[in-house]
Amino acid sequence: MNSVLTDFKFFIEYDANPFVLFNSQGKIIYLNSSAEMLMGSCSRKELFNITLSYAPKTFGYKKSLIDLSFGYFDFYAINVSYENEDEIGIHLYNKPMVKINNTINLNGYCETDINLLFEANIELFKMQYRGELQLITDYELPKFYIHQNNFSFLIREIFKQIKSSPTIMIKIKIKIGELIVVNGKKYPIILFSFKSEQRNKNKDKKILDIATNNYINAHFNNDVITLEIPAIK
Amino acid sequence: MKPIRFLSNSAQINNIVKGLTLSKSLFVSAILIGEPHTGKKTLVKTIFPKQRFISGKNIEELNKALDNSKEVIIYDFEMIDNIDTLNFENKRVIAIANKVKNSLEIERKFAFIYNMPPLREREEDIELLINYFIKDIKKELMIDGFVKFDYNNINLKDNIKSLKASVYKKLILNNLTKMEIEKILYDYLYRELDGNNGYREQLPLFEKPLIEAGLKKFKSQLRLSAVLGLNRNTLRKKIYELGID
Repeated sequence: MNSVLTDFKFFIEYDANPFVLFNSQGKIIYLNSSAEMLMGSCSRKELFNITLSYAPKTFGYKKSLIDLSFGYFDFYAINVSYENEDEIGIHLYNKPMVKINNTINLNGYCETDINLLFEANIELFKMQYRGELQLITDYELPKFYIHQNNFSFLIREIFKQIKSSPTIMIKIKIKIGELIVVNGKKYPIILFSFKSEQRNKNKDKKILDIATNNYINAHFNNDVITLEIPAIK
Repeated sequence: MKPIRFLSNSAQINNIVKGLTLSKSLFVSAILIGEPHTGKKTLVKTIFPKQRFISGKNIEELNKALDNSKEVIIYDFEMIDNIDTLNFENKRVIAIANKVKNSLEIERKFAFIYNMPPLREREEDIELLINYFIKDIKKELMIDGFVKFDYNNINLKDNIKSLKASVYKKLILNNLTKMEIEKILYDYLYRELDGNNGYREQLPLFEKPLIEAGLKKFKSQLRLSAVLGLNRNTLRKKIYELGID
């Protein structure tokens, strides 16, 4: 088997697991399509440092079982390999995913001006919120397909979680340098972030469930909730 | 047909109008909840003038509309027993309800829940509506020129409905001429006069308001007795007999 002579680049390119090849200075020489998406959530330097830390002592490869998370990418293992002094490669192995984006059901989705939909949600929230609310958005965002009702349910739950905060800062923008694959097609990601001074973390699970059911990635930090929405066209 | 107008200076109502107007171009489900006669239906009609309104009392017609139409407006929503059976998927649904039976069910069904404040919480709207009704009533009753109106003791128990009734009554009572009062009394007495002691029985009809108004105006029995040309003791006796406080 090992004696087959063929160009494996095609198979590496479309592997669902990210693969990155660095030179000795840490510059990226090659990355496959999965790694292209990963690079939107982690820095080249960070990944190169991991590569060096887990590299085998001599030429060859070393597999390590480690939990790594970058944004919504989760890996359970890596394989670092090199056969000369000039190039070193890292393969990252995806954790099994709970949701499967490539079988998305678009029933109930319709083309939407996300700023308009969000404005309607904000107007409703403003009727009960007395704090300071700041919205920074890109009014040039393209229209895309979304389930408007379910998205509004999600926003309502987020607002419920942060309504006791004296200030709320919301940012909406397109995520640069990262795409998401849905039904075999790559789409831009629209990023929503809700920054508040206080929030009721008991609702994280409910928010996560609504988001997951609607093909939206939700991340929670101490003071920020981030939504990553595929801009399906 | 007279165009529908919704009058309000309330910031809260303006937010509802803005939210519902935005939802005109969205496929979302929204509900407007508030006490009866707060103007919910008029407000929705102003925003969606060409839309067909279906009562929640008529569940068969409602289900048919939900099956065949992308946009449905439902009033009397509180009359629907089992809202979970209604299919709102891929539709713009605007519902109007006087009350909520189960708030969790409503939260599950509607992405946008608006609460219509009662009129007693919309002070800025009370005077606006009174002035609108006065103008309307003057036209209807063919009253010309300035009219007296007492803004006290307006009935807001049934929101706009009781406010309108109050304005009607007050406007009529405040603007009667002497001849009209005599005519009213004439009709009343013609109906009620009977028995063998009619004079004494019907006299309080004139005496009671006379003394009550006099006491309010002159604030003293002594002054009032002088104005009425009555003996002070006679006035006191009449106040007692008429049960005036």
